[in-house]
Amino acid sequence: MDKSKSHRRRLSRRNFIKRATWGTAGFALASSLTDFPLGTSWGDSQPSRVVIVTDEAASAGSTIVADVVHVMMDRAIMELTDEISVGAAWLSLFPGITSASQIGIKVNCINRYCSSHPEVAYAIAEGLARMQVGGSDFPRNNIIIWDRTNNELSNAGYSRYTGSDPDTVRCFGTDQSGYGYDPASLQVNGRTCYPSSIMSQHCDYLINLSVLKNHSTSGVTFSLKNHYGSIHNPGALHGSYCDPYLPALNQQIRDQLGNPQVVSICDGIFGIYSGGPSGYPQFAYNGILLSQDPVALDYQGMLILANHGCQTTGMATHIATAAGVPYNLGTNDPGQMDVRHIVNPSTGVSEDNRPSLQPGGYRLGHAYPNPFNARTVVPYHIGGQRPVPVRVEVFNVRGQRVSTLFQGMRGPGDYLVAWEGQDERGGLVASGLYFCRLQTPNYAANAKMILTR
Amino acid sequence: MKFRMIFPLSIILLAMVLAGCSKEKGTDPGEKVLDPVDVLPTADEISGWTPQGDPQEWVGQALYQPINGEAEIYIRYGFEEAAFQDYQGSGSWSNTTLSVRVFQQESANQAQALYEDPGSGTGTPWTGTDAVGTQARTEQFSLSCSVEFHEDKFFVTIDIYSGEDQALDVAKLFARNISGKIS
Repeated sequence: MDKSKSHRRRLSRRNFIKRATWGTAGFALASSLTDFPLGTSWGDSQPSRVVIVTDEAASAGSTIVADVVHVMMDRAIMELTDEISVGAAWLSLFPGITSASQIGIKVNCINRYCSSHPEVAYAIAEGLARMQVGGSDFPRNNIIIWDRTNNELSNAGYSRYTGSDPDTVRCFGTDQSGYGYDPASLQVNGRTCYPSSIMSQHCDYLINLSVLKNHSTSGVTFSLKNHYGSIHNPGALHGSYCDPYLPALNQQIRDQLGNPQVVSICDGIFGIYSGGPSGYPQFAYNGILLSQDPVALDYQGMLILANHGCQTTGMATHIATAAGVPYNLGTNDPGQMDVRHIVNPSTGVSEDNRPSLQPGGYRLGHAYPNPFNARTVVPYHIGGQRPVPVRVEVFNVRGQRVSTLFQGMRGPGDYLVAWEGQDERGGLVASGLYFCRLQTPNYAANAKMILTR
Repeated sequence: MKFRMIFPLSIILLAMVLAGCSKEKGTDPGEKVLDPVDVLPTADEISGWTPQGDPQEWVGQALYQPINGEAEIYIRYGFEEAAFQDYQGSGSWSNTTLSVRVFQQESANQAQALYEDPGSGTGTPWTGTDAVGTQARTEQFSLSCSVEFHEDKFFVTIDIYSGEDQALDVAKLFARNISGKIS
């Protein structure tokens, strides 16, 4: 069977071309049709659930333990969907799926040393193969693990397969003969981008499998950034810290390709928090993040990096942009997230929903960017076991309070606070040195912020 | 008559264009300015470490090819050329790889600005008599180590895929070798 000609695809190539042709002119209309109130997820009015599963046994040194990763993935997908079997959990994410449907897993292999690992991608594929569709297991051959090039996949440890053995997952790059980039374009904030034909013509559903890395331009990578590997010209979309190119691209993929992305997954077995996205893995987080809301997932990934001392998270303004109008790709409001933590599922030693990423003390991070002109962001961590009163204020060098950025209760966890150089009344303050002060009943610290007008 | 005047002028213009394209960028006759590839450690220079394949060289916008959007930060600070080289260890480092990247910026000031941008990396300042470059920093992660420094127009990163204490010493050894060729 020629799978590319499946009649059951939700969005035919013809329809895609038609929609793409209307894409530019209909941009405003499309946006208005897809508007959701801020704080809702991609097509869902419930709080965005994010599952973070970690297991100390997931890696040993620089080696990934595949069996443990399988357990983590299976446990996480059930937590995400409230289903009690792996097959039913995955099946619940694919409304209308048939035995002819094609599922693409977009991996990120540009850094061969810190890519979406094959152990994670195949754990997903094995879970998908346990779906009961039309009375039998979903065919592994209907699953495509893909990225930009065969060479990058190979360097990251994947084996290329384009055959038709029903029990073998296919794996190849957009540069595979017979594929390439689709001539029907996406319009991304004034740039014309051609999507991978694997995504636009050969997949009915998409799973976004990203990597836990910081990025010198966009601040962080994760699921929104992973789609830069889904188009022909990612280099054209890196201006202005990728903002709003990243939200615009993901919106185009959602709206023009028929919203095929059913879940975002971040491979956080290893991570990079300084000098990324290139380089060797720097730490073993031993975790996997899952969400149907790519913005919520990226926000939680950003907190993990900030908690490790990453100094580029403040550059990731695209996450807030993605949550707002006209993109509405999800939520970046922690109050609208239902974050579930699963710890050590391979041993069953402990399993809970602790909200804090790391137990222990309080911390106020460095402002970034610093010096700044329009906006700077300061990360902080609330330790302990229960919510405490927190005040975050800005003071000038004479010790006068300039602005109160937050005042209220905060539970254990990681937070970001932004200051746009304004006083309490919204007036712009003068250039100079300011201090961001974090105050709790048992902790206080200051972070310098240099404003240059 | 016109042809007699235009022809020699064309030759002179052509010579000027060709001179501008040359990699010989020294101002004094015969002086050769270093290219990034010139400062990479060669096969016999650091015992126990062998280059894997040929160095990769990238000029201008071609930097997007190997590192995609990461190129943006180098271009923002006046990127000109780069050379990348991976090395394979032997003996006690037989399962370890090391990666050197040398970026040449337009000026020493640009190289410094790049170094000071947190996007290019972070770390503990490497100071003291054994330090290299104009400024240098080291960072020891649990899985890898890095040394970064800037000197003249060059910004250099050395990453080793091992979090052991001795791994940082190896990275520093490479840094000294490279710095010795720049200065």
